[in-house]
Amino acid sequence: MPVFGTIASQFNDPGMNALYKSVMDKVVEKTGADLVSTFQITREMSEKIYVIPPHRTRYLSEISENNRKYDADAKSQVEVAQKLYGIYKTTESVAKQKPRLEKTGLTIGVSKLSQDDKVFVELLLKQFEKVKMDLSAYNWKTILNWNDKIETYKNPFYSFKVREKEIKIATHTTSLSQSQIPKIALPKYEAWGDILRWNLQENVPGAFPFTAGLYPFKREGEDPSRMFAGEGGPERTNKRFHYVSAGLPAKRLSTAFDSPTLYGNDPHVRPDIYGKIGNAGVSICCLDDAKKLYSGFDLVHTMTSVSMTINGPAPMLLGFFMNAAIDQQCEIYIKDNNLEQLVEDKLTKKYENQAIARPKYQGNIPDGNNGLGLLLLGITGDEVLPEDVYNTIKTKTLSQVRGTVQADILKEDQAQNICIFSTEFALRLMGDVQEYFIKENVRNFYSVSISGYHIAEAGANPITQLAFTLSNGFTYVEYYLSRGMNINDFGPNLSFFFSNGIDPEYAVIGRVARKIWAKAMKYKYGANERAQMLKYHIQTSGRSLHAQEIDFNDIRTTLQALYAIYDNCNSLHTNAYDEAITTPTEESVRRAMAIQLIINKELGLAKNENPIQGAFIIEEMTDLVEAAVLLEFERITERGGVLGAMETMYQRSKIQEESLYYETLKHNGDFPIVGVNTFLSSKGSPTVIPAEVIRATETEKQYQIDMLHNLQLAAKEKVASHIAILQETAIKNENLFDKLMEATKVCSLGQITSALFEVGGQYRRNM
Amino acid sequence: MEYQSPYIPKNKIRIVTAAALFDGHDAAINIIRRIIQATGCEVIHLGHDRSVEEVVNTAIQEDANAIACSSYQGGHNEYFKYMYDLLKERNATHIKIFGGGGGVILPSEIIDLMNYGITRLYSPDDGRAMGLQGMINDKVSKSDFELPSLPADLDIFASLKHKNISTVARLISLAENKNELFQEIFVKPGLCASDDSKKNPPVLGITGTGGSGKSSLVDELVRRFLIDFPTKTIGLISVDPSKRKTGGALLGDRIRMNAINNPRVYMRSLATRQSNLALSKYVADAILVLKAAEYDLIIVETSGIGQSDTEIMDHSDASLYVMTPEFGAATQLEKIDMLDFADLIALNKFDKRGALDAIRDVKKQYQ
Repeated sequence: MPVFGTIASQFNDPGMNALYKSVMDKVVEKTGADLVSTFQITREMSEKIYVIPPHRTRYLSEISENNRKYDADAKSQVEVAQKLYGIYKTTESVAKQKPRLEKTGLTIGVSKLSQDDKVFVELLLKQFEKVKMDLSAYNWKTILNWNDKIETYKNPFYSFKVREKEIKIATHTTSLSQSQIPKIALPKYEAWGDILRWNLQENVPGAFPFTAGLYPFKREGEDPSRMFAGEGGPERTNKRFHYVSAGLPAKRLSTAFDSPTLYGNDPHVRPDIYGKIGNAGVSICCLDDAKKLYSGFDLVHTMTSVSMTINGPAPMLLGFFMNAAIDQQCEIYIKDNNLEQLVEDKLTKKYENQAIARPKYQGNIPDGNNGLGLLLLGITGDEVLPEDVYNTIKTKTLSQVRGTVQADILKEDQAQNICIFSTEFALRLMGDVQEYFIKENVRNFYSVSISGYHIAEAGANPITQLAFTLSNGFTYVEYYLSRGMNINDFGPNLSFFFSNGIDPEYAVIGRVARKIWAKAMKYKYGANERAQMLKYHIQTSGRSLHAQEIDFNDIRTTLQALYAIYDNCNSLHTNAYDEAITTPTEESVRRAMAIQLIINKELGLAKNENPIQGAFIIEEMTDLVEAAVLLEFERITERGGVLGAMETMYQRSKIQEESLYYETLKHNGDFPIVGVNTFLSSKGSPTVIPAEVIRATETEKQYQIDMLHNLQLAAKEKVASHIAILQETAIKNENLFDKLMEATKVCSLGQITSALFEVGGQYRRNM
Repeated sequence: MEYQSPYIPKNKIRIVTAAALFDGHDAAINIIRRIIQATGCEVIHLGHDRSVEEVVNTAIQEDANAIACSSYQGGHNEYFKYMYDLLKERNATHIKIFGGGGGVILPSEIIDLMNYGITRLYSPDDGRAMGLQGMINDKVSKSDFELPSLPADLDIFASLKHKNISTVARLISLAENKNELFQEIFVKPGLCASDDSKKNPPVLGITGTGGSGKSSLVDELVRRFLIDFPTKTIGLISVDPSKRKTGGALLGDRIRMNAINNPRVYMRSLATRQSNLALSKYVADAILVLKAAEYDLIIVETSGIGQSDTEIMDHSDASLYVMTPEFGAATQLEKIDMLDFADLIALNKFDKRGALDAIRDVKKQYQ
């Protein structure tokens, strides 16, 4: 029977294979054409390789239901607590003394009371006991402990544990006027219902549902500022990293890659590639590039953290990064054991003896760079050190490196268009990375940064940004669960990334995100505390910067940064005012950094770490945004979950619609923007044209191409076997990241990408 | 801004639209291509991340009047100049190049690029001064020209035999635009039909309902064919409907296809250019041209069809009907004529709910 079930959108679909074979056979049968197919097919039927198992497609609605149930339960418990407080106060009034509060309930001495009062009090106590049966023991304990909790924040020091390490923190700061400013200010509620509601829905920072923040106090000595850089070749960006982090104890490096790298390609002389090398990001196509890029930064130091803005090729870049970190530690070992000559001999053999130029750091090593990471350019630690030594170093390094790789493929398809592989294959790679992280105990590195930033930048409003991002996050949770990973193992490796614009909802975006995530992780997925915590990075909105009156942009950024800091974001990037027209300069980046520093170091109110808690408007906005997000979850369920909705381009169309709405209001002036559509200068606030644009130089581009050429010459013999292993692993459906860790030691980015295209399928564009 | 009426083209204009290589910013080009369509042009839309070679190959294969490309990710100087150079190298400088990239392209660079040969680059200030429709009118009017005629001394059949893409493309355009002349120079000499199997390659017709995933399926067939036969070639004709109101058309098959960017594949998108037909009137002529160019396999893909449409049968040696499990009740199948005629049936999107029931019903109907 010539009827075939096919899934053309799925790579190497068995039904498509069978159809193709029959088509060719039929053509030959009917026309006798010289097209006899030798295509090998198997007899299996087309079967959808599900990312989310079909019986789990309602996951988002289940989360909505779970969270609403939490809220409903909280509400009824609050009601009970309030009743109990009423009885308590009545008892106090009748007995003219404060009843004692105990685990079992109220007790009070009645011997001195009149007979009438005694009867009344006993009735009250009985009623209390009856009502209290509806209050959970946990909530009763919360009420009982409330005063102690307040005391802990009044004590001069507060101690708590982070990963088995005791941290002692001063609870107050002193202002110039000698006022004691509490870092955490608590409500002055008396009634138990109010106290309970606050504890269940708000709570102090560091306690479930983490509305006010993840940790009891902010980390000292580490402001949440990230230093963003990426331009030209690795050397230029390395120099910039050292410049922006000079003098700061925490080295939080954020890397932007050029577009050939973002799309998984190597530098090339072909003009349409050549023109983009090192523009708007750094060109990184191999391990040596990564070594140079981060040279002089100790990648396993607890104060170093590296973030990489890369998605489709994230597993490859991660491989480059991990190997760079491992080789840094090998370098330290080599120097400690005086093995430099061994390295020199190997390098000579590999390069000079083959008449190939040895890779080196181009130009002078910048101030602040001590050269760490450069000894092993052109060679890897395992070529020099004994296997057991190398493996020990590798294991230790992997458990220490700190950072984040964006790797969020769902938002790429929904908003940003930097997909290179088919969505299924890209997701599989993400799962492989996460599995590897669990196996190798990579605890301090986020395997994904689930990003709303690009969704917002493409035009989504803050509610849509939050709803889509969280729904993507839960999709990864469901996918990883379906692959058999434990939620407590992978939960802590997930992180988030939001945009902060100027809309009112941005005042609460972090707290709503933390709350929704914690409730779902705790009660829907049974995750432990560490996995309940949603950690997020904020970047101020690039879209809110305008090309007219660009000086005003810093004011917008300041307000957005204030939102973020008051909301206790875990890390923050402030945009430079000139980003609307050009690549930021050192001067404009410095000003952007000053915005954060002024808030963190100068602004008095920011010495307090929960300044927005307790404001009526903040609570109102929180409820509003939370409800709106849960509603959006249901709309996505109706469309078959996140992936189902993507098939009909639901997310894309919604983002476009919201973008158009904003543009219309901006255009007709209903949405006032100062210096753009209102308050124009006498000259009409014209668009500012940059005097000059920073672009990669010819020398840098040419150097990247020559360097790649030499690398490929030196590695020629090894590449083919790595590629073969990768392809075989992909076909056998085994973990690819294991093999990528090896392949990235010798292969270039482009070599790996094209090898994986053949076994994983290329991204298919949508209209 | 006051209402600007769309320019009314004198010629049938075909424009290739795309966003540059390694560039995901497709919002602007999507708006632009819609207005170009509404202004009565046939638009071959490639989407984002397209190399110069892909764009230029497309423009030549599709015999387009112009290319409109956005570039927001930098590298625009090299990108547009390389595009001009490639067109020049392939004797196709009649194809106009239009570009834009917001504030990313500096005013001085616009001047430089236009001096180099790019027809026009639009800046944000141009947008404000001209308005969207004004910009499109400028573009379309500059693209409103008759395509160059084939050189008088050209040996058409030798040129076809060598798979000269320009000749193949121009002949198909002639069939569409000046059919009498086409008959005169191509059909009358009587060289195009032959019993020689080399000159009479098989034609595979693919039809099916709109939205059934035909383009992806064709792409997957082409991909396998290229692996299966390392030296054979494919000629591919894809038909999409023209809008009756404006005469414009969105020829959107290429955007879904990854395998066709191969020197062994020629692809041509045709608009129906008339109401309610799934094929172009000139499909038969286009097939003749591809046969004369000796492609080893010719594939014709129709636009989405209704239940009673079987037109593809007139043009194909073997036929494939593509549908999805979402056809409604089993009785609907009794109304589908193609189920009686097609040699093969693909139930695509087989991951949809009810697929197993659907395939059982289709098999029953087919018997």
